Amino acid sequence: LLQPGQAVQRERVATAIERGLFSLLRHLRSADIVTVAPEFEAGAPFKDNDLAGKIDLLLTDSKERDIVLDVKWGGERYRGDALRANTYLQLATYAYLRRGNPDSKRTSWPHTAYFIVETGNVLAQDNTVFPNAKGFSAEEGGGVEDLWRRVSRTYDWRWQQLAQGKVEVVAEGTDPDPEVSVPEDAFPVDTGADRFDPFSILTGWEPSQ
Amino acid sequence: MKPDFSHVSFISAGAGSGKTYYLTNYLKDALIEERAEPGGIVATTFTVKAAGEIEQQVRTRLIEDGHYHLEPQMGQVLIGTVHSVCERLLQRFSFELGLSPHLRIVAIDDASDYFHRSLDEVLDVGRVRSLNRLGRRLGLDDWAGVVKKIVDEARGNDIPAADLKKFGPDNADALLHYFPNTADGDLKGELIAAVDNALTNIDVSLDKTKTTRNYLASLRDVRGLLDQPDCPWVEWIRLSKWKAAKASDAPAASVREAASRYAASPVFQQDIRSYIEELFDIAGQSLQRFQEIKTERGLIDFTDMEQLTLHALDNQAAQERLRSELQLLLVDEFQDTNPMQLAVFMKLARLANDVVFVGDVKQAIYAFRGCDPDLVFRMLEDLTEKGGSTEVLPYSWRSTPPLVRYINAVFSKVFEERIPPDRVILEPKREAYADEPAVMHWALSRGKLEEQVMAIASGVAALVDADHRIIDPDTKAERPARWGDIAILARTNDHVEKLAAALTACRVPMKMTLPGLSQTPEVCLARACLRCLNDPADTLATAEVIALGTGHPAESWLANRMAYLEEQSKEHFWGEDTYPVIRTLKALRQETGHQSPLETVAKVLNHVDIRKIVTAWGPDETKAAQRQRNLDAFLNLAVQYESHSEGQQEAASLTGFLLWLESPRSPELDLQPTITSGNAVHVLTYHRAKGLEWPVVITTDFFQADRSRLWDVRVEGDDQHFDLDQPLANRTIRYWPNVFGSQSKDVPVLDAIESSEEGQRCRANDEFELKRLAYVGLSRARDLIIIPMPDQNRPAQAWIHNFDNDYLIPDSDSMKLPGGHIIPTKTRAIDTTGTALTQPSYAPRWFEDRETGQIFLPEVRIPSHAEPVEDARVVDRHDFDHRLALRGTPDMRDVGLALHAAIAAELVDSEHQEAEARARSLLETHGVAGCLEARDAIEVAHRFREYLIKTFEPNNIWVEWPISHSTENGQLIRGWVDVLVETESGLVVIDHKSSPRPRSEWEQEALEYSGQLMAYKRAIELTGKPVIGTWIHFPVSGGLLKIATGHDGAGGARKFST
Repeated sequence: LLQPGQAVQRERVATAIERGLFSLLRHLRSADIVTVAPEFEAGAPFKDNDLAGKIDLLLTDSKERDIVLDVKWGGERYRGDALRANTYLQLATYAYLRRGNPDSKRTSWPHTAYFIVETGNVLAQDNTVFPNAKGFSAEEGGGVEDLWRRVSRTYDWRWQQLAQGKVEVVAEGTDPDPEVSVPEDAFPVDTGADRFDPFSILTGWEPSQ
Repeated sequence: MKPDFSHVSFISAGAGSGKTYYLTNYLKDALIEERAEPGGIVATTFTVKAAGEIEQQVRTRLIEDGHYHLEPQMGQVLIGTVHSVCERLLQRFSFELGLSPHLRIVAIDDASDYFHRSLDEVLDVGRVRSLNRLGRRLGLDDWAGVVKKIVDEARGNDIPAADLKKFGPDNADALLHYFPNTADGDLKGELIAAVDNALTNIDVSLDKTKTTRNYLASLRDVRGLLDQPDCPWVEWIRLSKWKAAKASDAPAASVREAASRYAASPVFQQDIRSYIEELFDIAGQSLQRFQEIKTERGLIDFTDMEQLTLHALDNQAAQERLRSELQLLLVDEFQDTNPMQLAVFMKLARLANDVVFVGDVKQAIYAFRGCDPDLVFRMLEDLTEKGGSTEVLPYSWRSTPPLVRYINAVFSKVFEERIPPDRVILEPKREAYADEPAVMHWALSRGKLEEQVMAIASGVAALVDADHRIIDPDTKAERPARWGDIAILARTNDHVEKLAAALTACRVPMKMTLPGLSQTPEVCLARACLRCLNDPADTLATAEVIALGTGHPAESWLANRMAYLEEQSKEHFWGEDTYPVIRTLKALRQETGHQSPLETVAKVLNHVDIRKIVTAWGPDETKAAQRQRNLDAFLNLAVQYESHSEGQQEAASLTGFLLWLESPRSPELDLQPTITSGNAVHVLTYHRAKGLEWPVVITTDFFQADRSRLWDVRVEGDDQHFDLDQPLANRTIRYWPNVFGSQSKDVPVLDAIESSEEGQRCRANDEFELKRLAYVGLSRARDLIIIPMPDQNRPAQAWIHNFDNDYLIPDSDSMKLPGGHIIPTKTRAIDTTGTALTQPSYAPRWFEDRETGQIFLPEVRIPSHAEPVEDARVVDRHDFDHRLALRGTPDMRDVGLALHAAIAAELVDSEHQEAEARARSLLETHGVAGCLEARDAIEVAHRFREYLIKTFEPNNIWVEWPISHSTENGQLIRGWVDVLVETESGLVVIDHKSSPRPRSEWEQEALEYSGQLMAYKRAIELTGKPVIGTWIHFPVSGGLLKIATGHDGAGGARKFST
């Protein structure tokens, strides 16, 4: 966007960000947020590893509740779907980092939500924190705690496979290996698009006719 | 300057009326009758391919008619696309015009890049921001795209940059004329109050209907927007229509009333005015700067070329030269010339002695890319008034008589208001046709587009299965239709892709112009090789080269990678020790360091054997051909990149090329080339089908709705003051932004605009263009037209409503046309329900699937390359006992060619008066006159002839006798027998070899050619004539040896000594 000839596009992005920022401020105000920590560094042990990352916005409201807000440019529809299906893995991981952070005195899970810059909307599973959020209540189970339990199950199962030297390739359009049975509670194999997969050329190419 | 246009004729050439034949004939006759010198002829065509075809056909017909001396002069005729003709004219007059004779043409992608740079330079950030906000309020984000279109139209119509600004207020006034007078008061405040009132007073505990619940949810969303700066106006329009359930509709009605005053809002009207005026102002400024940027870099684009030519033709010196030289101007596809080209042609027409415009106004379909059919119509009308003549080509040579009559019936009615019937109706001339329906209606039951395309695909499969008979376009023999005989035409590229997917699902082979060149595995492989070449540490590239290039399964190369990582000391990059392909790239790295990207790509394609590898991927011939063409297209990308670098005045490098490939480029460059050969159904848009023909044509999408060009940037001419010599004078650019978004119903202002005189005129033009598009589509068929149509659910704006009449859709087994002709038709119901493309479970191809090691035989085999036959032996020999004297060390191939010619001349005409002069001329032609005496050559030929006559007592001696036959596996054997001697008992085959080797080596050498002799023998024996001997003649060393194989020649064998 900084290249010559990109000014119109660059300003369009800047205007969208500006508009998004004003929307965010309105959401923060209406939720009575009292502290905002951007790019909050958090880490927590998980199984045999240490997870670490930066939370886009770690918020606290007037009732001293922690809120993890993940900022995304777009993709409102499929992020809403992930909230409804209780599969918002990345957001849940940030929540886990916050809860398990050694500095944290809390043991309860923080609230979670997405903020979408393009539309200026907050997406959440309920309106407990953000009164004007778009609500996507989970279809079954629900809640970040339940989601994390499934993450843990899936992790164990996949790690076991790797220990046996098995790598399951999940490329766009492939059917799951019939010999692999997904344990109950683990995430089903995601058959989503591999548009962003840099290794797609190594995992089979063009449909056979 | 010609006083009038009586020397100009327009040839109206309907589809299939033999336009190309007419053009080539006219050109040929002009040359033969000396009406024009070759150097005085200028002919323009629409494509480079068409130019080549016309030139070739004229050449062929000049030779056929015996005008051999004229054929070589065809090189002087200037035949080409309009751009190439402009380029030649500009080069020719570069001195007079003060131009460089070397025009540097800017690459397409770069032109758009330079335009955006010019925008950057003329706009400050504040103005960009304010336009972005204005665009958001009006729901028109892509204002820069509109500016570009205004600039394009201005350039295409020779409208100066300085004139653009004044179009702004004119357009704003014209559009706002349809809006109500502005209202006073705080309209937005009143709307917000009404919305808040509705939100507060509608009680969901009392009104539990879904309608009201949804109404409130939507209202809440919009309420948030109303508070925001730059709330889109289209929200007002939506609020002016929404209703709550009856019980709660009173507050909703207040919202509707407050919102419906948007059109009277002074703020809204000012937004519209500012938007239009700003856009025209910016267009003027950026056009000015755009031209400067190109001039600074010494570049021009195609439009500049046309514009410069137009102005060059006002130059006195250029006019005088052309007036004395230009004898014949031929313009093909006249209806598709853009306004600037038309202006160029009119200026040339004033200078030429004879002018022929060939075209078909029924096939003008390029309004969407800057052509103006209205202008063409207007010019043709004026031409006739000012002495020009019109000739109609009256016959159809393409389609069967029933089809021609059908097209006549449908389109004489469709065009009756705008085109006289004599330019629509053709008389059928084609004779052969099968006893089959000429027009079929496939009645599809209602369904989604996905279901409809699936039904069409299954219909195609059924048609070929049923052996529908057609006439072969080449052999004119009747035969069942094959895939390659069928074309399916669609309105949009998107539909082309959907049809292609459906055909694939029905296992019907098809060809089309596919996007995604860069994603094809063959291009991925080529690119991975370049990445690996550029950076041996790029392990992802290395992995891709290994996976795609070797076909080894992932388990194998992943293990190799892991082992490499375990190695303590790494002496080489990964893969260099194990994989030959990586070693090859390593070796190439040494030598490609200083080469251009194009050379490097070419080298990689050859040395890594990429072409061979991707051919082995299969799975069929068409796909293999596609892969090869894709690699060609990739090579072309390197050419494009180099020209881009030149334009940018940057050094081209491999790294630069790889980065350029990553950067966004025009979608045109990512198209896979279309394979036109091969037995596969051709799927393409109506526009791309122009100029082509197929035995069977399926015209789809007649039921699709169409959009109006009223809201596009358009150019309007001044009809009242039209001047044929200045066709671009007084043209204005119209642009009315569509500020109503997707709202099309119950918007009073919109209705007023669409029903206005200008709105109606636009609509009529749109409809006329769509009728022409339908004509182009339906007239592509030679034998059969198929129209798939859903019986119901046709939208009100469906395309078909423009040209539907009693004759379009058949409803039984025959149709009676006006004039009493009855044509065979058919209606077939195809049930579409449940046929929706159930995506076949996608099975990706894995590398080990590919068929490796398959050797492809060449299509044509030349006998002289044949391997020697194992049991061949020499069974007879004659020694002329004379060795030809040669001076110096001539190339023996030239000596051989010269002797071949001298011997042939002697055999054909032994009584020639000036045999020696003839022989000398032959030696000179082959550049060996200094090494060989003409007398000696005659002597060799003479001795050879004497021997033949004495030994074989021939009835005839033939020279350079062509043979060709197909082998059992389909290979074509093609060659020429040097000498064929016809005797009572059979034929003798003799081949000359100019080898200077001594007698002692004759036998060994002659046997090397045994394969060639046997190939000739087999070919001749296939004609049923016996071959009684096969000989090798050594004219230089003076010997003749008879070769035989197996039992051949055993009887006649005799002992001889060496």
